[in-house]
Amino acid sequence: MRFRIGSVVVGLALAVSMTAVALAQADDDTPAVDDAVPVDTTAVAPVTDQSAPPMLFLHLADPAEEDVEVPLGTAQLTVRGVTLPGAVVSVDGYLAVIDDQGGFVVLTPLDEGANEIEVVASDGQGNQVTTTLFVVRGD
Amino acid sequence: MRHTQLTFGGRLRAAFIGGGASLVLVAATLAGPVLAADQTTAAAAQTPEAIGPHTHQLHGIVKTAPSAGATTFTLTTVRFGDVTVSFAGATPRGRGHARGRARSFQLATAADLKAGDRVVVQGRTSADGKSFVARRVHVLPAKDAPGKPTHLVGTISSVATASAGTTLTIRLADGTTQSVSISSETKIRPEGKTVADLSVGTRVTVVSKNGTASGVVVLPA
Repeated sequence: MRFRIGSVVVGLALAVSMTAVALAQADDDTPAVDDAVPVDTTAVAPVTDQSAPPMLFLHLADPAEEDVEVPLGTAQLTVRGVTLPGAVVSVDGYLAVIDDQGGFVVLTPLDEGANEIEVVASDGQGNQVTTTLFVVRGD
Repeated sequence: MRHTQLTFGGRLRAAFIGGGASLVLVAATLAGPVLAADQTTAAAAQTPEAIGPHTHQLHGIVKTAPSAGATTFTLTTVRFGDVTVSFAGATPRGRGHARGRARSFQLATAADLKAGDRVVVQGRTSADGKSFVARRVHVLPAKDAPGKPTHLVGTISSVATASAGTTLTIRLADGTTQSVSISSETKIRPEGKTVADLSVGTRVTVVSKNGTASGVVVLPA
């Protein structure tokens, strides 16, 4: 009987240790939530395979909202963001210059009235991420 | 105290009991967070934000156009779901040059709207917070209108040079090909690369608009 109880105790100890490991893994896998910046097309999954290429993302810091209203006197919009280093970014169809960290700043002309400006990022695998800005220039 | 003689079968049963308990605990621990995360994601996807006092502009697709004489329509938006918009009318303002973009235009009355129109609406949220009062309504070009920028990622399969300029044919990953013309305005990157570097077999990303490349990026081999 003593040995039987001992075996059960060993099994339960194993359960406790495995539960602790599982809890630690669950904590590590929980992604951080950032509500501060709404214009974000990032879809970054936890990296489990070190050999897998990093996932393409596009994050606009300025403007921070998709819907923007500017005065009639504002003829250009500054679009500032960050993407995967090495990715290609275009703003309204024009190539952006990307720095080593994936940052870019582009001045794009605005027409009077509503402007639909597509910011597109792509990588060498053909993956593509798009954010569309709706900018109204006028009163 | 009386001791029971341990048999091999007894040890085996005890081991099964302990091991089974551990598996149940681990499965519950792993499944709990996953199920909770799924429920959170589903709830977030199904619950659009509500328009509020700080909402001054919306964009979306007209779901139901106003009936004759009416000034109210329903706008389907990604962020706020379906929004009821009232538009009493406005005097359209003049427009500048479109610089190659398909142009948007302003509406004078809600009666000019039709279902499926893509619009940007400026205004404010109504006092009761249930609808949006439009000051101006801008109709955007159709989604498939020419002038949309595209990124073509592939390998140059042919280069044709003529007096009018150079035409690149790009073989894409799916095996199809697309042709784009290169002009003197086309930017070639990285810095220092020229049209001479755009040879058959080179991997490139072409940023094009209206069939003309605004930029070509030579990718690492």
